[in-house]
Amino acid sequence: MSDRLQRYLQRLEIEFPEYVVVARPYRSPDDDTIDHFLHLLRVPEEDLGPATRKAFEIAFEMYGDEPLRFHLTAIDPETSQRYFANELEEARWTATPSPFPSLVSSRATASVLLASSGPSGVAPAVDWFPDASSAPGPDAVRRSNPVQAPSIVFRSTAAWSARVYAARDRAPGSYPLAS
Amino acid sequence: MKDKARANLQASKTLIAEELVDPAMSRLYYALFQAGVHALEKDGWTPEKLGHYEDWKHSTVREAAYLMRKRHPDKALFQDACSLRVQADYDVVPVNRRRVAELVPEIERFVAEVCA
Repeated sequence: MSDRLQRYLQRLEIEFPEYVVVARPYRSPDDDTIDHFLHLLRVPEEDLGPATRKAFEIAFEMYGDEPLRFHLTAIDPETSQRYFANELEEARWTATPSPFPSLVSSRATASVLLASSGPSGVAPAVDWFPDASSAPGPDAVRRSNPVQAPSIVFRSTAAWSARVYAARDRAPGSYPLAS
Repeated sequence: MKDKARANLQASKTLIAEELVDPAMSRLYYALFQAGVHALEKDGWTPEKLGHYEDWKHSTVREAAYLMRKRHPDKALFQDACSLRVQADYDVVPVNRRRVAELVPEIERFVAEVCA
């Protein structure tokens, strides 16, 4: 994943904190200029169009005249739940705050916690994927296109932290899920 | 190409009335694509002038969207419709019916204008 795409995903997260942003490597069968497919998940039906257009406008602003190398669609909540359950679950965990705040910044700790805990264990202490390209995505068996790779639930450290801290200010002791 | 654009637009409306949403999105995109090609050719553009290809690629037409009506929002319209078409044709995730229904009048206006 290019730095620019990562910056774009971060921007989407800031622009749409209420949605979950998913990026997956993608080779389009009839368009060799495309290398990723992005989705905004849990977008209310009435906002699907406006959110998509806004996301493209941001992309044009960031990429200038350079062609976009990704497709992007917004997915309504029901369809998100049906087809992106793994990604939503992953997002829920990445948005769960650390029970060990002093360990948050350690990438090594992240690996340990990632290995020793999981969705059924203690809540992980970190932004799981500071480098999204190295993220272990959920399996992609549900997809029919064999060229598609596992998707990545994008969580930038900054946006994740901002969300957690904002939530702490609002309601100490309770933290938001990725809704 | 303008006749094909109109036919695909009509097909899209028929399909969505039959609740065949993904095929409707696919036809709708091709109505836009073919109308776009018609608009570009009408103004003397060729694939070679706009890119390095001898035929009209999706990316070439998408990137030239502004040239068709000289409207910046058309670039987002092409990106949007193209992404939805790819999802409709190649992904297991269905396209939202309301999204397609909302795009129909927008693309209908585009086709009517550039294919007049």
